Amino acid sequence: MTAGDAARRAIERLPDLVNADAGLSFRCRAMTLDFALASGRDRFYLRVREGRVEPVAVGSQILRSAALAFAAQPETWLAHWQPVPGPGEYDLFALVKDERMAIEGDMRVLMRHLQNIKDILAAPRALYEEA
Amino acid sequence: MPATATVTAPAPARIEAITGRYVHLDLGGRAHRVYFEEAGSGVPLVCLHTAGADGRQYRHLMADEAVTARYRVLAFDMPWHGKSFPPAGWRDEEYLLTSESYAEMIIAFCEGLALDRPVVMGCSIGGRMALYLAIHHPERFRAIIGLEAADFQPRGWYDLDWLHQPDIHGGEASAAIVSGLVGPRSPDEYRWETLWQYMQGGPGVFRGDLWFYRVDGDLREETHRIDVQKCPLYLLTGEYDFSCTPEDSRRTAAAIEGAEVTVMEGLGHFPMSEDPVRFRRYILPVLDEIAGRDGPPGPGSS
Repeated sequence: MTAGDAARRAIERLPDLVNADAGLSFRCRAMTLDFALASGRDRFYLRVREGRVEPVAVGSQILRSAALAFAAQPETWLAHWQPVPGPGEYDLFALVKDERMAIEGDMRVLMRHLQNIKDILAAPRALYEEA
Repeated sequence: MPATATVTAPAPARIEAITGRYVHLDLGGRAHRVYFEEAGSGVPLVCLHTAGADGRQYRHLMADEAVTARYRVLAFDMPWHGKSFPPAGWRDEEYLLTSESYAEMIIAFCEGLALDRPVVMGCSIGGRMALYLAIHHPERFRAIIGLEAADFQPRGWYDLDWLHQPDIHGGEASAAIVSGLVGPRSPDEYRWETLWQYMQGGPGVFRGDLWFYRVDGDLREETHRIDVQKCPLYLLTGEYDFSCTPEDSRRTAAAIEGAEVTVMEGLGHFPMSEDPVRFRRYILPVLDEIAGRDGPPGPGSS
């Protein structure tokens, strides 16, 4: 399996992972937000409604809006999801600082929900912890 | 005949040896009531907390008998932080920590408590200040320990103004920004205890502290003046700290003759509070060495 395939599978499972995490769902209960992910050339759209994540829309979506977009190479996403990520790979801002991730969109939305966004985007780590 | 019930006295609850008091200091010509905690006896060890937090970060060190048997460990909450109020009139001013105001409060605290050449240990902004003190006031200290210490911080990888906005919870935003600076293997209990302090921070205080960290406290032109023979300097940096990276500390040490950096494996930006068990492996040898330089504390130690 290529890194791109592995990252795609993990992102597609992200809603189930978040929704199955009672603590995370509780913390995100006031969060309603649309955001986009890019893994290399792959595009994904996620919709969060009061802490519940709807199924991922895969591929470019015509006229679909997103308040925020997070873009990285699949290898970077996979490094972030390791059970014990390496230094510089454990946090979104560390990846941004190293220019391995780009965050675009409404930064006010990001700062309102920062910890919950970090936790949602780290949810696929559970897949690798299970393994 | 009524039955007699046997009443067993409950076991007394555990009370920690840490005590907290207030000291009144004149800082910048204004009256301040500064809260500090302490435990132990022996060589005074003054601990400086990180930006946006308070002295509780050192509670584990104050509860460690391997430390408190030889050291009087003290940590004050900087004005505006923890249980130290801002000075009167704070409401209409912008809080901005500067090198001078930060150094002044440390010296005033040490003088106010009549500490005899204490060891000073600071983390993050406290680590930067440790370097500043090593440059400007080495004669006042018997040793200086910089945790997560570097000579400067590049400006601008995020905009500090996000930390104080009317429609964003500044405490939660501050905690979320620094959350990834805690090492991934640090115990969950202590990770969130560390972050809780950030969530409790006063409006604009973390931002104001970072003024010193990012803008006012650039020491690159001065660190070469540090004389480790005059005052020993210890630098320890967490492997997972991406604010002050091990490379930042190594760069800093390279400009200081005789300085070395210990990289603390697995730890992040808050070693003393995020994983106290792992931290003590690194800090106890340093404290042993400093205590060994001076010999056992005499009867008149502060």
